[in-house]
Amino acid sequence: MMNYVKKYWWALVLVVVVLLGFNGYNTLVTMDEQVNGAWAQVENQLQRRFDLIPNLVETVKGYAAHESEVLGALAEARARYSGAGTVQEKAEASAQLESALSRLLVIVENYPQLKADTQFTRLQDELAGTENRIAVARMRYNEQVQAFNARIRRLPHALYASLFGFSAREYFQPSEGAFNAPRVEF
Amino acid sequence: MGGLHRKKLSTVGCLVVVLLVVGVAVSVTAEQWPAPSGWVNDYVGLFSAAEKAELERRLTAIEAQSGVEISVVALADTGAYSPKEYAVRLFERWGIGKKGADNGLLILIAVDDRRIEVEVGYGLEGLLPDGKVGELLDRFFIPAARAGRLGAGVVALVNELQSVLTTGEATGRSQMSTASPDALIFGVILLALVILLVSLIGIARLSRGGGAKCPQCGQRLRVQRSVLRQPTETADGLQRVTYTCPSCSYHRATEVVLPAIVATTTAPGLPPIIFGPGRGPRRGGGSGGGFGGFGGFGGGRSGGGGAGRSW
Repeated sequence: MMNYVKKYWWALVLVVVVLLGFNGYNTLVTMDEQVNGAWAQVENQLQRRFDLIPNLVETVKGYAAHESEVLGALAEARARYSGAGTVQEKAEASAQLESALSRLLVIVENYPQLKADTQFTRLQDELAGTENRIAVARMRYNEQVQAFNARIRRLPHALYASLFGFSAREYFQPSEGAFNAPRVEF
Repeated sequence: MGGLHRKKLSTVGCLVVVLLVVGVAVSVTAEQWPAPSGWVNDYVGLFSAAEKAELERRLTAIEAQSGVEISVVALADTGAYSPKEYAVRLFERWGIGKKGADNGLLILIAVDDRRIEVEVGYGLEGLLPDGKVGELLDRFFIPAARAGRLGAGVVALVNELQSVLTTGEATGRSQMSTASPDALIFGVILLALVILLVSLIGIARLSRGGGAKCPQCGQRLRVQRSVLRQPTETADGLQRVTYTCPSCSYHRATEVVLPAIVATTTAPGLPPIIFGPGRGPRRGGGSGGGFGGFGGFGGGRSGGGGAGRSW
């Protein structure tokens, strides 16, 4: 019996290695999909912000139609976001959108009537909630990316990650590291 | 053989140990969070005893009526995190709301920051959009808070949330109703299975009866069944089965017990399902909320929805 073991120990090792390989591959696939899922959530929330902007612009126009520069910048940033494809492009376009929104919210301070408008208050709440959702989705996405990137660089997965076509995923870089990007505060 | 086995086992054992060690090493991230001790967790003595009792009573009622889990947390400040970020993380840590329904809600009051944050679980975002939450805060919490009556403000807010959540329930959000569609689907599947089973038994019986041969001449026997006593839910029934040969004089009669009927209801609105001869378990009453108090949170999730106000 021991003879067999001595003769075929390599087969045993091979079996274990193959099984571990399956297991590791499955782990990487699962984590890759988790990153995808987290990214879908980020896009979801960015889209939500994108959809809110026309309403916001309309409401602001009712009180401050002559602030065309800020409103124009917002429209431009929104258009740019809709053309963005990669994570990097979306992150940049969304940063631009955030800065345009911040400027809009600054000028709003000059219009007490606008600030008192219930429709506007509602929109501002929705916008603040959306910014928070984006921040949360971004945080969770980055956590998944970090876990995934660390995993494929660590042993044993590092041995075959590139073999199966797994490569490091991109982080969604926040524009200035703030949790509530355009400070929508009350 | 034994040696090979032992060797294999020890190899596998070693690998398991290695994997476990690696796994544990990965998952060590220490961060201190308070544990929930009830619906209301007041770490700064914000509420009077009466207010706290009132809140606990209402939150228990809300959970019993709609399944929605609301946690009220009062603390001094939120440390390194912004109040909203703290609320998001605490919500995640505690898992407020039922798993799958994500119908939780966290009201966080940071007294020194003079900030209230309402974090809404995914499942309640439709019923309580951010704009609505902000409006509720403006109408019910802020006036009292500005007058220095924080506890009363929270009670007023919860009071209003209760009516929003329970009327919202009445207008039909099936996603979070307690008689979940799962029970209905389960019932339908069960019904289908029972029908299949009963028809299979029927076919088997028919073919068995039809297939019985006369021991004397080999002809197919004619089978007649007559129920002597109908089975009820409490007592067995009796059936007489007679076999007669169409060509010779062979005749045989037996009596068969018909087991008592087991009736089961699966979901409201479905007729009771009558099981065939003695099959199927008796299902107990449905499981449900209504524990009559706080029993831990259900594992709900949130994603930053809700609104906040400073006062």
